[in-house]
Amino acid sequence: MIETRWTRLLVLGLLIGLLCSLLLWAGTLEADPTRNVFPDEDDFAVDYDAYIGADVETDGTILATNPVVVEVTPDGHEPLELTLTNVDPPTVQEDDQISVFGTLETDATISVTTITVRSPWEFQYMYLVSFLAGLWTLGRFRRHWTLNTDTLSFSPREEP
Amino acid sequence: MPDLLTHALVGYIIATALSFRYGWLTPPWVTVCMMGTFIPDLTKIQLLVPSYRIEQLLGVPFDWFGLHTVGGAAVSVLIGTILVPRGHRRRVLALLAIAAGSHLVLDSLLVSPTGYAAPMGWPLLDSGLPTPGIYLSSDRWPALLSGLLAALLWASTRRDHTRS
Repeated sequence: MIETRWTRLLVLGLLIGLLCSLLLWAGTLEADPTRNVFPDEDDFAVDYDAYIGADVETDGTILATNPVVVEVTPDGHEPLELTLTNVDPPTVQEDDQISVFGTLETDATISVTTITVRSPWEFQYMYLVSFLAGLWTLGRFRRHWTLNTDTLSFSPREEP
Repeated sequence: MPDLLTHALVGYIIATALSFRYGWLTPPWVTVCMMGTFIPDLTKIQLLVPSYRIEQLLGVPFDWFGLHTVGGAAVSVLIGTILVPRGHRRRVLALLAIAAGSHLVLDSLLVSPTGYAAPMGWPLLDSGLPTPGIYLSSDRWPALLSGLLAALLWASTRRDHTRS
């Protein structure tokens, strides 16, 4: 079972099809506070007034600190500028990346319940070490495994 | 996610620890476990091709987040499993499943402003679970701690190697 090139390609196709249907299904999931999934900028950018008074989560870049203004970029929309209230100004600096949870209010304002703040270099660190981890693992894989192009399968290299 | 370095190191730690009990678990299999820890972060494809672009293209709902769930990871693990000959499949299946599972467990401990993790148990479990919020994805100490543990395990495998 599933040892030749064609059976492997067939099963691979079926599994990728299954994975794609899962991703289509995942696309139908809506924000729903009863499932602890809260509306975000993609929701309130489309119909802001419908979400006034709702608990929302969003993330973005700090543009100004007095008052605190954050730029968030909803999918497929122009960036929005939101004013954050209930934030101590010393906790954020310009260009910081923040994630917030709070209540959406009129006039593009969020009354913040909780906020996490990160400096831009922390993201650069995260992407850099993640990239290095990828290289490390890929290097190990190339050293330890070999592809049989007839059957399209990977096997451990023989011990030297 | 914590950074991928932490995930890969945890994969290394788990597989190396198991290798003390299972003699077949040689370095090539440790590598499989390390690769398995990357599986849920296939969802980061969205940094290159956002979900909404695919929705525009296909005209139907679509979300890469599905890859970062129990369901998406399970199918991804199966894909990895059929890419090896039959004799290796049980090992690859077990290692990839443990590894991808470790990723989702570590991610369910991430700080979240809402206090809840993303609903990573989907489609078995629809809700986001409360998260203890132990670290941010960009914190340095998880990689340091797991790096230290991995180094200790690596040293002890070297010692066993020299003895035998």
